[in-house]
Amino acid sequence: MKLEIKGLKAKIEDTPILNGIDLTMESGQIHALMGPNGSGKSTLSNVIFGHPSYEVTGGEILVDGENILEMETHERARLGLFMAFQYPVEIPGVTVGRFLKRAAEIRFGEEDFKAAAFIKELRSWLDFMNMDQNFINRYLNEGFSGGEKKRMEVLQMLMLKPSFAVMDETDSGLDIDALRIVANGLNELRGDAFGAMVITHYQRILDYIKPDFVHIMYKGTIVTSGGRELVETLEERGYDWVRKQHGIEEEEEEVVHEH
Amino acid sequence: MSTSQKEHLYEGTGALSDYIQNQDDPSWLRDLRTAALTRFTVEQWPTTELEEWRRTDLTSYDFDRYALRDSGSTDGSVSLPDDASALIRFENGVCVGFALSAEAESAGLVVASLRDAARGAYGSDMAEIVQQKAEPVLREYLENADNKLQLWNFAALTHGTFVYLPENTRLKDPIYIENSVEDDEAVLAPYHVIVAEHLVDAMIVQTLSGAEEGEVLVNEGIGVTIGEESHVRFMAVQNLNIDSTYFCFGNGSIQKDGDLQHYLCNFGGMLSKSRFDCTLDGPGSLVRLNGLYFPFQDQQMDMRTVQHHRAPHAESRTYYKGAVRDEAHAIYQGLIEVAPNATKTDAYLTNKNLVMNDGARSDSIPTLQINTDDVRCSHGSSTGKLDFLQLHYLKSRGYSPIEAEETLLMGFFEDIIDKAPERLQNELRDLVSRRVYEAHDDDE
Repeated sequence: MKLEIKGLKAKIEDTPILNGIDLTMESGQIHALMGPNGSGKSTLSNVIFGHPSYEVTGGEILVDGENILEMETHERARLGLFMAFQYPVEIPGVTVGRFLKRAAEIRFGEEDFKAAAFIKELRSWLDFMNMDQNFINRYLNEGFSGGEKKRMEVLQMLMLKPSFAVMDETDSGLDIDALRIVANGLNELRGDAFGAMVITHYQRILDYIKPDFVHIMYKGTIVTSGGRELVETLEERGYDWVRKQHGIEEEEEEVVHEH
Repeated sequence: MSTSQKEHLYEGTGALSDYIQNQDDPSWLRDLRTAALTRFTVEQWPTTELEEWRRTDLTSYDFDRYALRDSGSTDGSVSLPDDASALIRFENGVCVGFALSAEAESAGLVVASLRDAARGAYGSDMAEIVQQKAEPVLREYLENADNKLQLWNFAALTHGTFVYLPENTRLKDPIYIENSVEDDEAVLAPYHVIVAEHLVDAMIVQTLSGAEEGEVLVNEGIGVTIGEESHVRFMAVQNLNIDSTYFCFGNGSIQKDGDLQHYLCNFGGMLSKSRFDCTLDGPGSLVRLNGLYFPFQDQQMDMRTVQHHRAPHAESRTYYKGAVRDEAHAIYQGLIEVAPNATKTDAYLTNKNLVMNDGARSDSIPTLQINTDDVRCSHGSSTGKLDFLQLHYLKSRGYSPIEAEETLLMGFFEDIIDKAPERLQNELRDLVSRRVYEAHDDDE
């Protein structure tokens, strides 16, 4: 799958947040998208999935050449796109098992769906994610801790095997053990058929997920892109370096809605 | 089935009097009907000046368009499913048969047609039990009856069930009461009496359904008494077609340390008005009144619950949840009433509504009447729309918009549905699901 973002502009209410994003990503590649709070990282991921709070004001997003901005959210998902949410919502009354069974049926086709194999696989991924088996019968995200919600996102990703995943700050709020488990989940899928954009505020998850490409976002644009070495430079010099390097004036960061 | 005889009996009280005289009833039942008729004759139809009837206007309702059919009885039989302790089935007001498991029978359980049992159709012993156990219940609730519909129900009493659970009856599987109405323009007045003695543990599932087409009027009565330390769950599913009319007045009384869980799953009727009034008569008694409703198109559903505390240390919980869509209108009125002697009462009332679109309406009217100190009573209600973030989340996993909506509604109702036996759970999910999809088909 090839995901091309071209000149993408978006706003929330009357506040412009994305000011022209150009980015090309493909299955088989892991991209890290970094940037300070309020730079528009989450907005970008939400726009890719057609979140109703954001309005696209320019540009396009192509999946294998087709503009997905014309599509509804579920149609985008059915292409093989997946999003791990920064703040996964609680769905009371709907068990993880029932929810994921339907999602898997949609992803892999109802004809080919085998309930027994599904449950077996779900159980083994729960073990892999170090999650209790009784999560299958719990209501989705209801009463889950922050870390459990993030693991649940990765568990879903493992079950649904997307062609391309957007992971929106899946690492934030996780302790080091949980972080490692989440990173293992992504690494497990790594291969020619899977690509991801890993959005993060911090460098530490990138110690476990070695990205192929790194992009740094500032005020709604990608100011620089590079390889893994960019993470190290950023770690040494901080976001101030990026700011100076690219002539961005110091000012109060605008408060924007991140979800 | 004997040939049906059509009589218009709502306004023509003379006809109702003849009808009563023509019934082959024991004298106690005839007296009861006559007492009801006497009051019916002088009572006016409820008007919107009464708070309970403020939103359900019957003034232009043509009661006489429906005809009562006295269809007699049949000697049919029903086969008992594996997962039932007993089953009784009525079609168009006629008992087509009932069956009990061997286990239930040896425990002394009685499940029979109320009218036929009272008439001695199952022997004089049974007739005696009915008089002993059902008559006091009928008499008490007739005395408490406060509107013309209820009085009509007692006077006409076309059919109904008598369930008697002797002391120590503990049933593994539910008792099923199935009622279906297929006749167009029929009017039925069923009354179900459920008497649980001490130390009973049982579940009763009552379903009311009808043909997809045609208009019927069902005016139902329910009387439940729960003995000491008995636990009874009573689930009622009303699924008449949406051209029909449904009235239901239920009463429950709970003795010391007894526990009644009532569920109303309300789907049918162009117009429906129901009330379930529970009295906590014994200390330590517990009542839970649960409701699930989902009117659509131009249905109007008016529901009322009463938690009536008359003893100390009793607890009651009402939990009514509904969704409304299209032009539908749901009304929920809940009352917690605490008598002066009912100290240490713990009562709560919750009503949650999902309004699916502009044009659909939901009114929630909780009331507290507390006549003593030293109680914990409160209520909470919420009315909102489906959460767009939840919808978005499901869509991001490939769920179509309508599937996402269905899934959230199913989740909303899940904590009511999961209290039902498995077979009924599937039926209820199916009813909710069909309502989601049918409504969308209509949009197209």
